[in-house]
Amino acid sequence: MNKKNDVQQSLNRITIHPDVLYKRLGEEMVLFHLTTDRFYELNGTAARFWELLSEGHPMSEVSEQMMTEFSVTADEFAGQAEDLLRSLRKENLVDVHE
Amino acid sequence: MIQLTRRGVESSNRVAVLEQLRADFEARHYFRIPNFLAPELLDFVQSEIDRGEFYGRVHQNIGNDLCLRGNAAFGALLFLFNDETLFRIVREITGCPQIGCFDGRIYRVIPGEGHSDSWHDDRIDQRLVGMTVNLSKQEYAGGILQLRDVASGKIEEVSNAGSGDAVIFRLSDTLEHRITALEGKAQKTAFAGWFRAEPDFLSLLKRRTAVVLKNPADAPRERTVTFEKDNDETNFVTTASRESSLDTY
Repeated sequence: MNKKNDVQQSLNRITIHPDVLYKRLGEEMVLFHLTTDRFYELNGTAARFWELLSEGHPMSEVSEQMMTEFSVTADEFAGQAEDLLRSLRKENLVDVHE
Repeated sequence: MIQLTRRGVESSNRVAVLEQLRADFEARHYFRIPNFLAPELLDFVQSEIDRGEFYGRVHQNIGNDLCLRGNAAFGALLFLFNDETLFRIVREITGCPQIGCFDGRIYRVIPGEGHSDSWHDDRIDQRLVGMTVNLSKQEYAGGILQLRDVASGKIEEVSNAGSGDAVIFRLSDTLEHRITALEGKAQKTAFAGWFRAEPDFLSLLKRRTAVVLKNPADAPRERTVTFEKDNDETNFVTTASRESSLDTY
């Protein structure tokens, strides 16, 4: 399985943690975790990625939209998304549904 | 109906309601929003406050009270009060200039503890309009917000609000305010602060926020998505230095 498929599969099992509040402020997305009492700022592509994730888009659409908007290849996007998701999971900002 | 929920401010935005609030503000320098905090949000905030810790604070030449050491109650309120819909409503009612952010704190006063407040106008730090939200679990006596016209000495008393109610009041060079001493045994807890012209909310947070998730992919030649931490103080409201900075507001 290639990177793109890995990410697609993982994204399909990921939702935003219910204790996370978020709002877009211009180009940024600001997050606040009610449990950990931490603020986060997502900028640019990460903000857009979060936005698409929060809207419940299927991975195929997220991937397609991101590649359209940011002119990255499928493999480049997959690598970036994987890194971002790892960080989001580490901060408990998203839930992984097995 | 204007109410703050976890999703932000929800408003029916009925013209008649806004006109009444505008008339209240014009005549008495304040208006009240009953049940401004949605019940589930109020429950969350009060339970977090119960788990929190207060420390003594002295407001130079004004008074002293207790301030909540940072926890999620404050963070959630700060996040949610910085809401464009709320800013728009406040501007429509008060006629104040463009609002950049809301900044505040959770404080507590306890009868018999020597907590006090004196007349002041809060006209610093580009503050435009004041706001206080009652977070007390019990009804308290005294602790009334008073507004005084400096020239005439006329005092307007704002009767105590119910839990979750908000009172928004005018800040002006010609108007001062204070909280009267508590009576009885019940303590008062409130979230109080100011709508400010500057900075914007993101800038306010950046002055305090410890964790910043940056995406270097925004730079054209950088494709790696990583987080960068400004420092290891991952919670801006739990460090002494950060709280000290809050004290200056």
